[in-house]
Amino acid sequence: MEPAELPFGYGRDTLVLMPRDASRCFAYWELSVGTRKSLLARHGEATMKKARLFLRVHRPEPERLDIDVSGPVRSWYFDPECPGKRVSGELVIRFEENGEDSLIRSREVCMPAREPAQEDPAWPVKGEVYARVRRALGQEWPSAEG
Amino acid sequence: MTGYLVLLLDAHLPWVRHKGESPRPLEEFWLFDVMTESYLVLLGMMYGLVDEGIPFRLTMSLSPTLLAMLEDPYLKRAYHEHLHHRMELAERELSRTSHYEPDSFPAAEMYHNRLRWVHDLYVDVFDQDLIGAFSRLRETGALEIITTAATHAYLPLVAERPEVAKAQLRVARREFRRHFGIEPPGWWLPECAWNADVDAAMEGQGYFFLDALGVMGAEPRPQACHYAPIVTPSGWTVLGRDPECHRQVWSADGYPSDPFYREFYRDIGWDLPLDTIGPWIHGSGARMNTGFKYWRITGPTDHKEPYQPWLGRQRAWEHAGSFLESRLRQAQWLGEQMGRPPVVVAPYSAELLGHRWFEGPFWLEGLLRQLAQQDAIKLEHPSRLPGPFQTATPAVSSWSDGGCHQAWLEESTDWVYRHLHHAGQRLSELLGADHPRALRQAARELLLAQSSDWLSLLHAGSHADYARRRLFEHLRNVAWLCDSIERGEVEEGTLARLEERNALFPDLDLADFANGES
Repeated sequence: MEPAELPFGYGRDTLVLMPRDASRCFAYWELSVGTRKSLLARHGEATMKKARLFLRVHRPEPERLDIDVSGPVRSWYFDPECPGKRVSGELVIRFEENGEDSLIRSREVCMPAREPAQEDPAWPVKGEVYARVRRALGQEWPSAEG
Repeated sequence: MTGYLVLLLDAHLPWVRHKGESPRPLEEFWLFDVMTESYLVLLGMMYGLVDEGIPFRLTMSLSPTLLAMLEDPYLKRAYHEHLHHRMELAERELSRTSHYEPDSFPAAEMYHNRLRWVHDLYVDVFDQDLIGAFSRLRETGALEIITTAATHAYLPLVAERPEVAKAQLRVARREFRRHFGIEPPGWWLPECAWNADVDAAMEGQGYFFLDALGVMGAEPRPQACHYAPIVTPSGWTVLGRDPECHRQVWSADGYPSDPFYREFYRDIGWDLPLDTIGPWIHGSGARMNTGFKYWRITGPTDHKEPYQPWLGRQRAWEHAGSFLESRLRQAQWLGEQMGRPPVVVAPYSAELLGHRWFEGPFWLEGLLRQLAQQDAIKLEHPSRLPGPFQTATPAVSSWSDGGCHQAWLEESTDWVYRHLHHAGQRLSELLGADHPRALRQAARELLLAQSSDWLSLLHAGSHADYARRRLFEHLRNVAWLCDSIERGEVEEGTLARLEERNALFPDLDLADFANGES
């Protein structure tokens, strides 16, 4: 889908998370030539050939999520499984024998909520009004999967 | 008084000025068509009501790119020529239909009279100055004008960080002050899209609109759903679009689908033989809409009955009554539940009224007249709604399918963001560099690349080639300008050509793109 008329990359290490709805987040990244060369110099070609790239999602709970994004991809849709919570991403290269290197982290973003918020006791909710609107909308909540 | 009604018209077109291109690109006709069928007709209608002393309070968002085109001398001249060209066609159609197509004659006569009226409004009454016309209407108190992001960017996604989205809002505010001499009292957030980054980007005070879902999903849960505004912790008043109002007007089975209304998709630009319609279609010879449409919707069939203008107008009046009756019943029920008058918010695209839904301005006029004859539903500007309002933080939302960012972040558009984000970051890094003129043009090009319109067209698969071309053009221009500034060699001729081509936002201030106070 991406057209060839624009640069393939910009030579900067980049990782950006973009929440789309309560159960879907988009990530795109770029690893610069300098970073790739530096990894090669440190770990050697044989190790790098067997290494795998992971998108690590840091979230409050459950524990962090690791998604294997090795191969010719540079963006990914995933479900962080924590609607309404703050998440951040990290690109990690994992080696078969020697642990892993952290390459870049994204800034923290907030996933849209899936459930209605709690009410304020000072402003008691009018339940019938909500029921009418839900009927009109034909939809429960803004952040349902789409 | 049973309840409040807030009626908002959102008027926006992307920057589609193509001075010097021949033949004139089809996209410039987007502007001409909505000027003829929507903006001038709506203005004429509103001025008529004011002259008659019929009170109303309407709210209208005029986008900065639309305002830039309305004030542009080249586009003003081009529109004037276009209007004359269409009037020639109207003369010819009177003659043709009277001889060969008598069933279409009433509609041809209506177009003839209407184009003369629109021409007189544009040239004699408004002196080709629609911004001035809107401004004077604002001064009567009938119209509250608000603004939107500079190029109608989809703010939650357009920037990796809030500072870049902030520039969209700062430039828009500066333009609003230039045109109307006041701070904007409110904002139409493009596509009603909101998230925490938009909140961080918004400066000042006022109100803005979200979809119902953005208000009903707020934290804490609002007492009255979206039927009372909420106030954000940072002090902004938020109004939620009512789905019932939306459905009645803007859905597949809404009012505009009535069998007696004009059929939008049948136009003599496509129906008549080329040797007849040739001079009035596109300069390339490609068929295009002319605005002369002689059929009514009739029903879900290819067979169409002749359009009877007076019947369409009568249905619009009836639908205005139906809409008001629905608001009355709705407000009575809501008032009983809430223990206070509800606020029902009905925003519509201004281009829907007149252009897509030909009878839409008649519907609006009928509604305003009927509202003025009763006092149960009070038509009000958002800035005049009485509080107190509950404090709550809106939910991440938009008015697009799915209620979040689903329509704006999918396979046909997700590749765009890395380029937009990079361009924004690059400009931010260069702000202190020499050559402010080149930097200012780079800022204009960045804003134009950020228009939600290109993403919307890509998502819809409509005019996708044009959308892609515009995206590439503006991103390439940002890159070229930034490269030149970094090298310290900005080629004067190319810069001047870019300034001439994308000549909008004359007061653009680079401080608006810097983090911190503007």
